[in-house]
Amino acid sequence: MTDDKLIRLENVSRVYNGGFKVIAVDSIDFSVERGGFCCIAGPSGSGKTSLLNLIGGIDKPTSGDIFIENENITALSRAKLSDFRLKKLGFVFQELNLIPVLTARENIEFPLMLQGWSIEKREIAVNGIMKELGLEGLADRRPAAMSGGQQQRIAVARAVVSGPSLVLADEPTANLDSANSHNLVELMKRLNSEKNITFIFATHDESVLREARQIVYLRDGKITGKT
Amino acid sequence: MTCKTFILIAWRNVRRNGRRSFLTVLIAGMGLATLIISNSLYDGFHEKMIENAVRVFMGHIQIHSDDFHRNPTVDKYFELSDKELIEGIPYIKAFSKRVKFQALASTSTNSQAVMAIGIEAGREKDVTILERSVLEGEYLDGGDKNIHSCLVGEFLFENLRMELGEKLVLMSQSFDGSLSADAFRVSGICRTGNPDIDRSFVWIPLAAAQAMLNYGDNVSEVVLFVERSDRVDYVKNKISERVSGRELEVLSWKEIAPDIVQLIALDVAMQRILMTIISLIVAVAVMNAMLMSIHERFTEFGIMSAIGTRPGQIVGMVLWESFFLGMLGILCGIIITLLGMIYFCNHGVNLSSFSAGVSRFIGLETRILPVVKWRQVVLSSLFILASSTIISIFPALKAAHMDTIKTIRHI
Repeated sequence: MTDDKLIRLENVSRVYNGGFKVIAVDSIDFSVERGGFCCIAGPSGSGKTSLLNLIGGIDKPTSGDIFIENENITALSRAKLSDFRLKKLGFVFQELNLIPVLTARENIEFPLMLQGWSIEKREIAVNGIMKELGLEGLADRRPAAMSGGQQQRIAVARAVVSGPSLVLADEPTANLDSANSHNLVELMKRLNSEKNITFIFATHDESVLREARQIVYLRDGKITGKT
Repeated sequence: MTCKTFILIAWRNVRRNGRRSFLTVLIAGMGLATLIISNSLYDGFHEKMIENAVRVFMGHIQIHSDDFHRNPTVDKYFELSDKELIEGIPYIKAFSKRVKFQALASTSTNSQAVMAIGIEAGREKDVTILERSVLEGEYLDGGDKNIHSCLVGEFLFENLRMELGEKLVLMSQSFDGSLSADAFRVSGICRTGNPDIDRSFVWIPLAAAQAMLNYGDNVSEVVLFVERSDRVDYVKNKISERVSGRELEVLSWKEIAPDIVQLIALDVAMQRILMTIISLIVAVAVMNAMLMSIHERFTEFGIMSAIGTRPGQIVGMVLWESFFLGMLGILCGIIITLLGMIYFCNHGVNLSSFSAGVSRFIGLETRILPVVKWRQVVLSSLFILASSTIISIFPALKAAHMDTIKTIRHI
């Protein structure tokens, strides 16, 4: 193992036993370098989201190990996983990303508040990321008063505001039109190159795939190809 | 700071579904108002009962020879000077001495067994409502010239088919066993509202009773009225200390009328049951609102959990929401209570249709006014708040321990 591998999956499987057995992720091995821009691609039901959930510590594998920054997250307790997600990861989901009763600014500030940042530090960080991403005009709006594209940009801002090593995005462009989709991908690319944040996407959007430096193709829970 | 943010989220969530929150708050408010108003009316009824019992005849404290209360016979008498009785004992507002004996009351045509009470007319009116209860005729004036006047209970007056000013002969056994009798002119008719008293009591001047029974300066009962009802036990203990070793019994109204105490205790038990039922209804309403709210926010909790919110923080947030609902419920309840109190303080609750049944306890005035006790208001409010918050632990735990994967799949 070398230090530039941020994520390493070793023979990871996830089997669901809800009435009948479903192998969502089947003996997967792959790694992502620090600063990578990686796409997990595949058709619906191929296991993209399941794999992303395993990497994010939201779910635990039935077998195998997942190392992030050389720490085996499969061995962590629920509380430690919460801490791990809070400090090391950022999430962007397909939709309904934001807490509806908080404004855009408060949503971005939320993970910083959970991490116990001081008010001053939070203000500097939130103002900085909002300015950087051109979101100042949305600061006091609640999610219901924003478009899907705007909400996703706020979600990205929230994901990166605390400077995580890794951002996981599950089909972030699925509900966006092509212009918004393009803007979002450009934004993430910029954050990837400027801040060296590793991005892993689950997507089947060709326009997103074109931008990826590493692609892992999945089908029926198995890796069918890598680039 | 983290806590402040979760409190903010909780408060905004309460406002988020305004109609549901309003209905929940209204249920909590109505529950609280029902509790406070019903408790106030119960307390008003109890106060009335106690006041009636104390002011009609009993007083707050009575002093007798030992065992007189249980077995009132004419040979149980005692002497107690005024100085001996009240000197150095605070809170005694008034007292009066009595001679109490059973007698046969006869007119020219009828006779009936009665309870004759020799009273100090001047002092008795400060202890009981006897003077105010004179329905017709005049109260005893207490002077020597009218030593042979008497007051008669309303129903006794009717039963003996008497007329005002008519002669009534009382015949009794004096303490030495000899028969004694005396004649009195009926100077007034009394309506105390207590049918037992109105049916069988005759009041005569103390001096006449003492003379009739050869008592000299002795009496069979001293009755005291205390400034504040919560000082009764204190005064009773002081008097008991003073007369200890003298074969006297000192009894408070609670010992003299245990039926009233039991009735109040029964009512208080009923109040507590009502309080529990109403609190449960409110708690279930709040829990239902919280469960609905949590069900709607399934994904939201998943997102919060995914980005690192701890289960304890989610529990805290949900409990804050129910706390806010409870607090708003209390506010709403106080407003409804104030409106209710404006009505009940002006109109009261009229129990006249039950007057035959309740007059023994509450006297002639059958209108009950609420008595608001702040302790009761605070306790009821806290009970509502605590039950609605505590019961929300269940939905709170449910929210905190949702399977993040399942909630994320909702997206």
